[in-house]
Amino acid sequence: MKAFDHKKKISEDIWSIKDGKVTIKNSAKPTQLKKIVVPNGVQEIDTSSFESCENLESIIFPSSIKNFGKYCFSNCYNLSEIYIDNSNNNLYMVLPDYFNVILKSNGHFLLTNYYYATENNILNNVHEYSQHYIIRGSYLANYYIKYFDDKEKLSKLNVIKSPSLVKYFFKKYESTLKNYELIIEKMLSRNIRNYNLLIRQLGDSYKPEYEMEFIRLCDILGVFENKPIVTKRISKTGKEIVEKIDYAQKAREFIREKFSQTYNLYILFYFDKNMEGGFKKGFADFMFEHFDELFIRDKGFLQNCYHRFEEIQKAHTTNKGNCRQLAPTIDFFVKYLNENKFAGINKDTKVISEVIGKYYNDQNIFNRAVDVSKKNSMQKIPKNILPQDLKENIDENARKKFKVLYHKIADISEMNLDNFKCLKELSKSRFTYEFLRKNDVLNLVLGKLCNCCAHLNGVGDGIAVSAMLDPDIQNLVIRDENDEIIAKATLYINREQGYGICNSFQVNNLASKSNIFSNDMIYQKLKQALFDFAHEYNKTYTPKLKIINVGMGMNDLAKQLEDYAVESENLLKPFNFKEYSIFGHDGYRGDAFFRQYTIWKEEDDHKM
Amino acid sequence: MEDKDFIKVYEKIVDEQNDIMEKTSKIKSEVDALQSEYVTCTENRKNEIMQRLEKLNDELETLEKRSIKNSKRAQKLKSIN
Repeated sequence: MKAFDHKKKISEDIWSIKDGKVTIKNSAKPTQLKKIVVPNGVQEIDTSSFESCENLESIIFPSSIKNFGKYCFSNCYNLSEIYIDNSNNNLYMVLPDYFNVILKSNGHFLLTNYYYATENNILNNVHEYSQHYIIRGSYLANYYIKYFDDKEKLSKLNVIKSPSLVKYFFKKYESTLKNYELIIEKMLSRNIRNYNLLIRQLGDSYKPEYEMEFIRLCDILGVFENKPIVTKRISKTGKEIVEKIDYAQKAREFIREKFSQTYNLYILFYFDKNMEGGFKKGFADFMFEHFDELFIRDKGFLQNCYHRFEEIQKAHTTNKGNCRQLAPTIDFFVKYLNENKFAGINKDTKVISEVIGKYYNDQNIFNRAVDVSKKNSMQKIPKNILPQDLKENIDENARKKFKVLYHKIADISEMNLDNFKCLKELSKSRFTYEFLRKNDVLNLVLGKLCNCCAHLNGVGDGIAVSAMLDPDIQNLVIRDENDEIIAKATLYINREQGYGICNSFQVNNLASKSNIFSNDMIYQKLKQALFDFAHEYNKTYTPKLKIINVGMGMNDLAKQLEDYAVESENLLKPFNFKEYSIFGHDGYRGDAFFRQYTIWKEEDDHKM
Repeated sequence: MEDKDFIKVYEKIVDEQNDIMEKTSKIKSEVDALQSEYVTCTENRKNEIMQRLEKLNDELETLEKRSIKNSKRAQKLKSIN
């Protein structure tokens, strides 16, 4: 054993070395030493070895060192430098979590225990920065945040995940980092495993990039398993083939590739000793198979799961207290996915899942939507009443240019006192109409968008279903400048007698309350759409349409109709939507049974 | 500042603001009309419309500058009184 080079030599009666493991006898701790050099060949430092060595300032380890026991540097209040021979590049792989910061400089690692380290002895001891600076550990986040403004330094730092908290590597990803500033701050005061609490605490402020969420979710769900998976299968020739799959490696490569392709994100997926081995097979297979579905931004299943985490948690925790410890297993996760609308993801149901999933958390509704869509395709119902699509369309470039101008006008207008009026005027040309294609799943949730019952789970479910299944019914929607649907009408055409009836006009509450929207403008756009429709219809079919009425039962634009349209003397026979109601809502037939206003007549067509 | 002077400056700002408003409004009307026309017009006309939009854009930028300047004037007037 090589002796110590420093001022005071520690003899073997203080150390005991067995199988490369150093133990320091409690009675003989080097409490007075300021600097220690650990002999070459030592691989491990035992628990509490240097604990309470209050005068210890610096310590040098040989390249053979691989592991440190718990609390080995606890209460070393003056310890600011731990040097390790740089030939052991894997050192950080085995360092326990309570080493908080490792900096590598000039061929040395500098380790600093955050609890006792100051800013000076962390960074000032390092004169030259390289790309190998590594930070890890539960509390490094604080440290990291402190230096957040120093972009030059930060750009050279890689954050490594640790078993307990900081799980990500990222580089040059400032927007995410800014989010993390808040998140980590809050995390530090809570147990990371209490995920639900964390989410609740963060509330709306918690909007990190979903890819980060994904990694976190994987980790929290316990998707890492201790050993590589061994699978057995029988080949075509009848031989048993044993395969050993390292899912950790597979996942590492897979995720890194996906992330770098998609988001230009630098992620080194570090697997801690405890996690080494790989993903649990079930999850890994599930994830790889459905990666795209899981990963669609804003509307992916993963995000849905993320928002429904509370439910997942409830499903498999027995402790109902506020501070439930989250210990879900992947089996539960997959089960949850399967039991809810995520079940049966395939090409046909994917789009339904995405649309329906936004509004309902119910397998039955999902199944209903699937049924309706299946019927739609089986019965070969035409996509529109008209043979062609009818949609007001301005090409993208032009639309952008117009939009820019309108924004500028709005900016100038805002500087004027009559701000409200100008914005209201502006909105006039911002709306567009569209007759929804009959196979569009949006038909089934329109009521949700426009605050009425015409959706799959509402009294007016017959309206939603008939819009997809009845060849004489089609939904008309108004979109705002962001392409969001803000109003709807359901048009029924009686082809034999040549008339049409809109069940009613429904407007999104938020839209009608907002200053920049105006029910007048929405009404005008609906009217224009119906005029266009009638014009096109009459060019295509006979008998021609003679009149279109609007039901006044539950009409959001009743005031506008009363102002601009005329009450119909004769009630036209409306469509009875209850025929299509899945629930058989007898009480609701539609909005046009008692009072109708005429919005279009045959002679209006000639005025166009 | 004397009342007379104040009214003079104030009216100037209001006139300027009205002028900006009016011109903005005119441009907006034109943009509205162009947008309506754009849906149905020929390709040639579409090109013309796009060129016109460029010019309108420049005009709007000028108006924006004037509006900012006027706003500063109003603020100044407010701070003096």
